[in-house]
Amino acid sequence: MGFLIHAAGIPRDALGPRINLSMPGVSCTVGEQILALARIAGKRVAGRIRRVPDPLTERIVAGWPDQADAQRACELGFVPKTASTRSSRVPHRGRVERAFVA
Amino acid sequence: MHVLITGAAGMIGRKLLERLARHRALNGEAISSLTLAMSRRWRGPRALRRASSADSDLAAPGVAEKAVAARPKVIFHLAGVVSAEAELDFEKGYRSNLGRHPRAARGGAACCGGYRPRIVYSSSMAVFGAPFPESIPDDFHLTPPHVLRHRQGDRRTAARRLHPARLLRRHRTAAPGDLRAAGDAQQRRRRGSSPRSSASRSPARKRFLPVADNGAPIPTRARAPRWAS
Repeated sequence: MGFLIHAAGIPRDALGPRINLSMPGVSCTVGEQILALARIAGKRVAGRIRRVPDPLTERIVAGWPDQADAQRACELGFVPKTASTRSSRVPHRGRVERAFVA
Repeated sequence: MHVLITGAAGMIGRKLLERLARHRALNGEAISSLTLAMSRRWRGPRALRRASSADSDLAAPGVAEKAVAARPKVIFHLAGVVSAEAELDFEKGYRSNLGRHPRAARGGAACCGGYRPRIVYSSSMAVFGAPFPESIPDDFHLTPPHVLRHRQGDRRTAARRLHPARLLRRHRTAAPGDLRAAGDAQQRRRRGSSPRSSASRSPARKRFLPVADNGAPIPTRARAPRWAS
């Protein structure tokens, strides 16, 4: 949300002729996502994940780049959240387990 | 400052709306009125309960024009259909992701000659075309293989021609099915305890609020949100 709000305040002249910007973001593997889920929500939640190939999903994901440089966005002041600020927003583990585990 | 948010009940729109409702300002400038356009009913954050409404299709004739009639200074254009849904339903993806945008842009252009709102809208990283290097530069070629992303690429061109706009590409983190399921579940819950929603059914609150019958924006008079305390 901070990026959207920041974008609304950038002077038009600062963008130049190319008005489209790739934002800095988080890049990780699916395995890292599952590990993060297990760390936050517990192994019982992460254990529900099954590997099921889906042709449509595979086709869509094949069109996603792994990473973007986002150099122009960084120069224009789009600063990503650091790992420390992200982790501070994660709810307490017990609360998450109560919410998602039957 | 008058701000318009399209797709205000969507994944990004809801979070943005909650942020704006909390601060009641945008980059240091106070928000005097807020117009919301959304394709499904959502009561909105508590701080803006009086201002929330739904049931508007930006692709329908006249709707986008009405949304910008009060000349919002900033337009967050977040309405759209995401990946799998657009792949499975070509017509819907085309109409939603491409059709809405030129209509919204034309609405702004037709409002008056000198009216140049600031438009910010979002896309996903899937506007680029494979094969990819390990990390793509800012000027990587835009040759997406998907239906949805072609529409977004077209949409960008339209925005660039008509307005000073910004496009923010973001990683998507939720599947469209999850979003639909969440929205449907929310609607079911609301219907189950709906007597309180009589205000949102009144004709005056049918489409874009808070905008009066003459098109003038109505100040939101947002109360302090409960979650801020």
